[in-house]
Amino acid sequence: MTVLGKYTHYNTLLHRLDPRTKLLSLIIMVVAILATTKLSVYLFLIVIVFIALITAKIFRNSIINIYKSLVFMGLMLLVFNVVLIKTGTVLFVIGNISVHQNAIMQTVFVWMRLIMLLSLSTLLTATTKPLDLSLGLEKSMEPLKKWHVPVNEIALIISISLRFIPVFATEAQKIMKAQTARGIDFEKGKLNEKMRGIVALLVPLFVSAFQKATDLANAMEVRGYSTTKPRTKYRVLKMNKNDFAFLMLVLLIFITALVLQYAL
Amino acid sequence: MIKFENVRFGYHETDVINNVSFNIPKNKYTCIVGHNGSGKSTIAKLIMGLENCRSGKIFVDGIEVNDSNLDVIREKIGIVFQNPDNQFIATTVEDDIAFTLENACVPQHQMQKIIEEYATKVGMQQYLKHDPEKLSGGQKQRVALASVLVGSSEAIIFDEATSMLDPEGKQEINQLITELKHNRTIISITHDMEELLNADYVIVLEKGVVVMEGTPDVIFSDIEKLQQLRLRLPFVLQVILEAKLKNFNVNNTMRIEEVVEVLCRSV
Amino acid sequence: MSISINHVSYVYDSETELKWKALDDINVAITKFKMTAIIGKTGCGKTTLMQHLNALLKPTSGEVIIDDFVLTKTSKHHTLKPLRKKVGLVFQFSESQLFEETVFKDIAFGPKNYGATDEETAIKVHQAMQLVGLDESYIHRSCFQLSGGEKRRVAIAGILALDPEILILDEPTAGLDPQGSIEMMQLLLNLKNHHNKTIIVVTHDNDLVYTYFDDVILMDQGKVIAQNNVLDFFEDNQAVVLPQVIQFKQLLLKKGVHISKYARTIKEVLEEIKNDRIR
Repeated sequence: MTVLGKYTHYNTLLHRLDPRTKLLSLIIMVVAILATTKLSVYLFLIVIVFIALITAKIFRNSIINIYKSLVFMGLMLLVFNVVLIKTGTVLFVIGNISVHQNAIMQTVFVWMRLIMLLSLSTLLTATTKPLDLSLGLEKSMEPLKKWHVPVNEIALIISISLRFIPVFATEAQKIMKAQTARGIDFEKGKLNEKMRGIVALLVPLFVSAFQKATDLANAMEVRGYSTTKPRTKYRVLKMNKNDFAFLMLVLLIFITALVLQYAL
Repeated sequence: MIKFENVRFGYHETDVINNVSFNIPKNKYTCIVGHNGSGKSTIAKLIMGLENCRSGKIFVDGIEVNDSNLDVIREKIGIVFQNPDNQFIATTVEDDIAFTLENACVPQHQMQKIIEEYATKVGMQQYLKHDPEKLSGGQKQRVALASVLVGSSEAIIFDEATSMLDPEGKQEINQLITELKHNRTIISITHDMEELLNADYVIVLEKGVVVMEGTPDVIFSDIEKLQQLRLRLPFVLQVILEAKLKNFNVNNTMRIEEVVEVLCRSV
Repeated sequence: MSISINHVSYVYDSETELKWKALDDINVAITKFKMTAIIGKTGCGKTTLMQHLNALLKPTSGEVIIDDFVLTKTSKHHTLKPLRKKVGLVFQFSESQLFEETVFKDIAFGPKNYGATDEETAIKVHQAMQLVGLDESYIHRSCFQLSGGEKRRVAIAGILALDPEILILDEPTAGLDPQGSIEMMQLLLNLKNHHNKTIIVVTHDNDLVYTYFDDVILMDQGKVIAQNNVLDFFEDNQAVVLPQVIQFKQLLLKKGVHISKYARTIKEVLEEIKNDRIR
């Protein structure tokens, strides 16, 4: 179950961009989506998002699965909106429930927003290596150091967490199998059986997490890591003309969206 | 190189290390052996300053280990731990080696070259961009070794570094140990008795006490004591022991070829 | 009554681009009431094969037959549980599955999941503890304060309490010291000889295989490339790392002293030399 796309390696423009460029572009696009309400703007933005997905070669199974999961949510939302929103012209009547225009429009808007937001964040995580992402975050948060925010430590914690997510996933799978061999049915067991199973999964998982944390802390310490000492950095980020061109493009899209919304 | 003077250490009331004194020679290959739970891994933690002893003193190259000079100690000695998964810090091989360099404040522009040099030393230069999940246990331990070597060159402790590896992985690491032996202090904490045959010096621990200490010749001359300690003899010594019981006229040696020679002559 | 694996293939992540064939048309029969070792390099598919034997994985194609039970791709979910009781599976570093406060409770987890009453469970726990050599004093001790070797015994007892006919273990000696490994092997030997268990072990340690096992299956890249009884298997030098006794016998052979395949301990080898000398 991955909500956001896993990094997949392709050599596209979006893959090559500086993570800071992508983070900033994401923020600009999110603001554009949240600041506008017209259908025309949404159609414009959604086309842009799809173009981006296609250029980054991630318009595949993974993202289509995410859309599929949104269909059910959209239907739920539709039911709620039809019952609750009674403004706008009545489109038609089913039984004794009248369906108003605004109920439909509201659902369409929320649904399009969700699609765009999820696509954009997937775009970021699928084209940026976790390591670069945490480095990008670290650099972007640099100004916060003035207020004694431990930016470097936060970035290190993020990158170590990213490193250990697959390790824990494998570990969890292994423990689940081991407990299945002891008679727990995680898939189709009764509720109390599943509860016992979850305890039998979580306790060993925590024990192993503590063990790993201790070992890792020791390994870091003996290799000279200390939060009080200065450190140099192996990875440096460099923005080049592609980044600036891309940012200009994003800004242009942003302005177009606002013009479509407010000026026309 | 490393000297223990009446060191005691324990986690609760009981002593894990009980009044231990020994001397690990410089630029030699020393093995510390004992059963699981004999306290041998604790010795490594004490040397590295990851635990503080209750009483007694530990010296590394003449410097007493205490909280104020851990940086100096860790520049001299590095350690490769047992579990290959739990000491890989970064998400790629090159970043993992870089982590040590970053901590040592090596200037950024020098790092690339150093990383390549050390990756080559452990035969991992092809894997710089790989993520740890795609590596075998032996490869992960090689990266761990490179990451340690890059920061601490004088002495390396292998804390059961091969015990979780398959035979190929074990061979890879043992091969590297042989290459690194020259001009470096190697301390191997192990329960592989065969490894002792290649060592220069051996320390045997049992229940937190040093029970035997010396060159392999000295250690293996007291087979009775080793058996008392329920330590498995290296294969060649098992053969000699059995041969003597059967009245073959064999001498103590560590070379199986010599034993074979004697046995064949007797036919 | 038999254990046989017919044309079994298994593909991981078959729906995605990452798909990868872990087992490739495996055909193997395992003799009951013996100790069989599955050996091969890391990643050769031996752990995947082992998980098929108690239906933790279902074959992508082919069938696994255990007595009257046939496991295929389409086997119904609810039919698998009885098989898992019949075939006990002990994972690598099995001590990491322990979670209850006391040794007793942890071993009792399995039988309770299969609906045993409290009395039945208590009997099974005691029997299992006896089999793995843990005395009564361990009953109320905390799992987390035991040594590594003791924890592993508790984990094995947790499976033995299900009273499986077939016991499969993945690397049961990994991380144990030599003394611990020998004790583990003696435990398995006792289960085979005195309790009629069929033992299947995935391992890397060819010395142990040579000394304690009956049959060997060698795997490579998802295929079974050799299967034989231990004596002939190692005599044919099929393993990558040869057992020390075999290496010793080869050295003797180079000097013109032939030792029969039946001698598989140092003692037996020397005995043959001695008998030669007398003759």
